[in-house]
Amino acid sequence: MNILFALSPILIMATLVILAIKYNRSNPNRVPKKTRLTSSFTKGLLLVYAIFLVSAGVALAFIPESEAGNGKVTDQELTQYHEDIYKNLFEGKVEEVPSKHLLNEWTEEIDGDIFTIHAQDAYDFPLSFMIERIDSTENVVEVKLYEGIYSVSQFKVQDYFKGIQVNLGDNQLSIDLPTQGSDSRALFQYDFTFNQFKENINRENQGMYSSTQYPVLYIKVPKSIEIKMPKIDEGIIHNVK
Amino acid sequence: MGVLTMYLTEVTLFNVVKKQVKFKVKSYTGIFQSFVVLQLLGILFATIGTSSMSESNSFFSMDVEFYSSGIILGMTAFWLIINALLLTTTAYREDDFTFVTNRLSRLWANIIFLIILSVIGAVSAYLATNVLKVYLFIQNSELIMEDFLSITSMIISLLGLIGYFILLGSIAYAVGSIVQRNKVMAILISVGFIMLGTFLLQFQLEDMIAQVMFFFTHETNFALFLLKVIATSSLLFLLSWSMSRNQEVRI
Repeated sequence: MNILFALSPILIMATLVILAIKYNRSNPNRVPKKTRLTSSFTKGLLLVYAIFLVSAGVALAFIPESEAGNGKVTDQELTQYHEDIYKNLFEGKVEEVPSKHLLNEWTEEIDGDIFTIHAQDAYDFPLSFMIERIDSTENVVEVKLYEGIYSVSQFKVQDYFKGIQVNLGDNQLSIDLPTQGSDSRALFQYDFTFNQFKENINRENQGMYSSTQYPVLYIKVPKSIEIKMPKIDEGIIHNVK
Repeated sequence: MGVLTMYLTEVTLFNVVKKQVKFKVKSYTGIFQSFVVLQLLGILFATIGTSSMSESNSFFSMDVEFYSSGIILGMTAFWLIINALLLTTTAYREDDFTFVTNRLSRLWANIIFLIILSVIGAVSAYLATNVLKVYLFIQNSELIMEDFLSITSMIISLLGLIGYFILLGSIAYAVGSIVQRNKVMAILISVGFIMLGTFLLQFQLEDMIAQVMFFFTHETNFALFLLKVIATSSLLFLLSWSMSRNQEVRI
């Protein structure tokens, strides 16, 4: 069936060409093309083509929007996301991060003076760590997970960070990375002529591009507790001052 | 005894132009046939997709196919340019003298005919985009489409597209007129284009061409865009007029 659909434009074209040749051959009063006034064939061809175009427009009205298309994120929203999460957390302003970005939070009282963060060894670890050392007499560790965004040409890929498992318990924080996920999609984009006179559109950033802002794991650990992080690259850890 | 009859019907420029335009619309059937074929070809090529993107890391792989109506618009523009060039050829010029005509009425008739072609081309290219979308949806139900355009922005962008087509038509018509005026000019123009291309590449001055295009493509104010198109097209048609006005008269 798919092959039939794939070939349908060629089939339509071939039919039209065959019809045109047939008509031209069977017409005994054939006169040179350029001097033939109001060719009924051309009229018919244009009429059929017009019906074809209009019926496609009608059919389009009944096509439901793809669910994947609901996750549209504008460049302004991406910038705002960065401001909301990264900028605030870099400066330790946890309270100023809007709660809508918080995915989960955990609190654990540490038994002893060592806190371990376990994670798989991965060169492209899909998380950012921010660690804040606090003055506290209580051996309590607080962990907050903030959402990340991965988008392709302004459309969020919801499943991209899905499956990152974070667990806090037994004096340790363990992070399990998702198993290999995949997504494939088709994206129809209007040309610049459709968008040229539109307001609020980023003309610099159109076409094919992707944007990644990793989820953030914000960890508050008392200064009296030692942190051990085997297998975690120090490059992805930011120490909040 | 013979009777001498005199007709004093005044033939106005408007009437002549009107008759010529009607004649062109009715008789140049080849133009409309090639239009349908080229747009269908445009739809066919557009189904292949404009580009694709693939990203992969240790936990996720992503494949995206991009589709756009650019090829449909490109094919329509190609059809318009070819026909604007053809209108300036001797064969088509001869047809115009079937009627009482002069260079001015011929130019006006051709301008109006080009505008009609531009409107037909733009409207059908818009509708052909819907064919592409429906086809892509049947092929891939997870097709993501950019926001549907509102009625206002659809009308404005349609008028913008008509403007682009008129501009392209006027450029092609002016080039055709220059070439018809003097065949040596045809060679000179071709050589000029090649030299200009080489010069721009050698000195990396592609930006200059881009700046000329940006004059139209980066104009976000519709009224200003329209003004630019009208002014440029008028100048180009004036150039065509000056090229053809001193051509030999057909007897």
